[in-house]
Amino acid sequence: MITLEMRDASLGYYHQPVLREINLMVAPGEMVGLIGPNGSGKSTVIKALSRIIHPSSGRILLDNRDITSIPRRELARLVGVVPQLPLLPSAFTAYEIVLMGRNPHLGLFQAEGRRDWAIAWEAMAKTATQHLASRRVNELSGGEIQCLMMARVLVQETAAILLDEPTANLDIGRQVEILDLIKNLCRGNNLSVLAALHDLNLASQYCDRLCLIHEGHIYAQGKPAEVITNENIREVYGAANCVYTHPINGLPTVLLSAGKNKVSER
Amino acid sequence: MKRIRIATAVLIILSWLLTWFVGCGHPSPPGSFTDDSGRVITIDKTPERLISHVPGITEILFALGLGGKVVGVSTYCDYPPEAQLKAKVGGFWNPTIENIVALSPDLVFTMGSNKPLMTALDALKITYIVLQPKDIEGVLRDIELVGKVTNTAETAEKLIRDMQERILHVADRVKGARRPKVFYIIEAENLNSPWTAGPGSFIDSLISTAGGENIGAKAQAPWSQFSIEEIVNSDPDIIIIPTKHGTAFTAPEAFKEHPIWQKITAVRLGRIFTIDDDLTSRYGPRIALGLEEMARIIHPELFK
Amino acid sequence: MSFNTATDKPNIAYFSGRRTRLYSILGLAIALVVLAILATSIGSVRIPPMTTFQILLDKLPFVNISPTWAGNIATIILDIRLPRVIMAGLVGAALATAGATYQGLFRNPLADPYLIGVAQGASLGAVIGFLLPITGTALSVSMIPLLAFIGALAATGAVYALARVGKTLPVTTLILAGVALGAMLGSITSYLIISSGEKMHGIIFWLMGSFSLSQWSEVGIVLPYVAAGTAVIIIFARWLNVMQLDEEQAQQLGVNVESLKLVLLAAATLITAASVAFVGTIGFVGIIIPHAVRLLWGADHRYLLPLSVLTGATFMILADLAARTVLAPTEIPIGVITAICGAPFFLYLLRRRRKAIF
Repeated sequence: MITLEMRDASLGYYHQPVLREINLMVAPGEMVGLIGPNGSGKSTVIKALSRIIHPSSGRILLDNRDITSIPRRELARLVGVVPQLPLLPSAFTAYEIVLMGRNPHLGLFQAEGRRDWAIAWEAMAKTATQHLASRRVNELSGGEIQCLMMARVLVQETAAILLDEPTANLDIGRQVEILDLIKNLCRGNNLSVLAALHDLNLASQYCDRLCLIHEGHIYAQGKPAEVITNENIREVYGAANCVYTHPINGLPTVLLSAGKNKVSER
Repeated sequence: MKRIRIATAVLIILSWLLTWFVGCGHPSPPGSFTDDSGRVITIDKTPERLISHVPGITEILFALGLGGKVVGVSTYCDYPPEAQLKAKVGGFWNPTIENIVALSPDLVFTMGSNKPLMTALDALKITYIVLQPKDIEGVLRDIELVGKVTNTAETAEKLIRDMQERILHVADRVKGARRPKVFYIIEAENLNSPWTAGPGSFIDSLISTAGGENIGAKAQAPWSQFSIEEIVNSDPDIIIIPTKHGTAFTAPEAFKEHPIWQKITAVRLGRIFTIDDDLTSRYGPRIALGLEEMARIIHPELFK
Repeated sequence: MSFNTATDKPNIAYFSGRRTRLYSILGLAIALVVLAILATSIGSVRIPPMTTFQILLDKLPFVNISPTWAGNIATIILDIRLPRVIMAGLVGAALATAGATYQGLFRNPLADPYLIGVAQGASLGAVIGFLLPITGTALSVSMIPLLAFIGALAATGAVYALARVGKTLPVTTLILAGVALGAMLGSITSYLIISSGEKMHGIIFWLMGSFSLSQWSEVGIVLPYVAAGTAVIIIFARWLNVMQLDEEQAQQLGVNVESLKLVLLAAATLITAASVAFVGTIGFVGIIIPHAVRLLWGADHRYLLPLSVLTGATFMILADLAARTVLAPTEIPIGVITAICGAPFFLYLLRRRRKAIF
């Protein structure tokens, strides 16, 4: 169980700031959704929380420990990442890719053993990817690869999981499967989960809190109903009159109507 | 008293003079010798089994009557014809060390540029001598050294005297004569920048001694390329092309057909000559022949 | 939970592949020893195989066979052929391992051990060594390997210094810097060769690579470098696997990417430099052997590396054997043999197994 926190963090690439003064917290057992338009910086937040990039100012803390003070291998045991567009070496099989998730738990002179193999096999069962085990990754579809990434992060057995568009290539059946899996893990194992999501409805349904990023700042933070409002969506996304209430569970739902959602003046 | 002192002094002087006559002169094996690389080699007894992978040195050995003691040569050692019957130890630049060892040599003759070979011979504790003459004088010194080392000093001396006679004969005849400009083509794949014998090279000294002026002496290094511009500027009177087994390295016709070479004096007057490469590039007894041949080419009026 | 018995393991390629590879390693190791003994008994001088075996057996502790052979025959076997075969095996193993490491490090199938300037630096050092005037001491004669080694390390050091950006070592920059510096050093070397006069032949022969003058003293120097470097690389094999993902994923899976790059680069460069310093630059082995191994046994570096060691050694011993027997007593430069024999075999493998190997 760990708490992820960003305090007044400014992030960017090669001195080009993308995000300024971000204050963000993910508590154990909580699933936080990161939403915002294309290029708003969702991936950047995830990279910062996994120490791929460093904040130009401010701090990033894991359980009040500065992230730069945590050795790489230990960090990999605490935080797992499901990447959006992973580059995968074509000569490896799916099982081998998933098994790589055990790397943080193995010392330099250790090799995977029976327990590691079983964990990987189990994770592939949970993500319905077992039938892909002997296939080479360059033969797999985008959706199959995404499920494989999910399996790998399960195998990593971390206290926090960061997901970058985990459902972008999946059909609705698989989207629900994967997100149900994540939600259950989050609740059951008290994981801290941060998911960058494109789909506002999925974000609304699954996340306990949402964080809306716009023009380098956090525009709004809070419960789905507080964040996904007509005013916010119009201001940030430039789409008007599309937030409704879900008839069954009362959560905000975005429904589009052809030609009716243009903003009148900008 | 005084007589004893005088007698002792005379005795000492006499015995000193005796050692001077006995101890002096050419040391024959056993002894220490310094080769062309500056190494000091110690020889315990007259070597009976000789290997030479340098064609020029093989010729020296045979000329000194050591043909019977030569047990191994390189595949390029073809003169005298008896040498071709000897066991082969590989090429000139890459002799096979195995074959050398299999022949159990007492002494190996080599050239100094093959450092890895020298390291290997050192490691296997095989005695070797490095011969690397820079000019005609150097060749004569090498023949003398080979004579001492193989206990054939007298034959060596005879050979050297013979060669010196011929060399002096040439040098005397050409003294005072006008020196024609000579261009020696070592290799001319590209006629616009042929390779020639530069300053300090062996062939350069041959040309000078034969009474010619080597225009290659203007180059930077003993072995270098010469630009066609410089050739036009120098306008040689004579062109010499080496041949191997009768075939010239570059065909004389090629010069006559080349638009720029055509205008060179040597080509216009048809004074393109060939010389057997073995006579000028093998640093052995036939160097004298090479010199004579070259003198005939450069000064046909002085040598018939 | 864990797999308890062999029957628990799912029937997937991963596990059947493991068995095949482990057996292959064992088989190849045995074949290598047999080949080495055979290679020692063949050469340009005819020696009966029985005599060779006796000479070799005699050298084992507690074994004493009264010699029925001449002293110089024993010298040929023990002081010329045996160090030569061992050197060939070492260099073949080193180049293949370095090649596999560079390919994994740069994630580029075209990478070979000479990519970042090792060969050019070594060649320049060696040519300088050749051109130094001979002095009376034996030290000057062994200057060539020493200068070649220094040249190789200096060139790589320069490339590393040029390519470094702060604390990181971007892979693309490294390759470009290596190519550029290599070209510069290569042209300086070419100029020196052209101006070398009568030494040109010897220099070119050396640069093309040869085991013909290998001795025990050289083996004694190369062996520790190659053994240590290869051991270090194999230790990091699993991390090298994870590095095949992009650098981001590798870091997120706990691999310290920058440190790993440094360590592997240093180790691979060291073993390459040690090999090139004594035998010249032998091409083809470093780039093709790892690919052949991948075609046959897959890309998992924990097997790829040991198998590259064994395959590289075997290939080089065979190539050296051909170099010294085909046109005996003249020797063919080994670089010619490796390319002429290796290329068709590799193309054949490529056609047979048309699947992704990288």
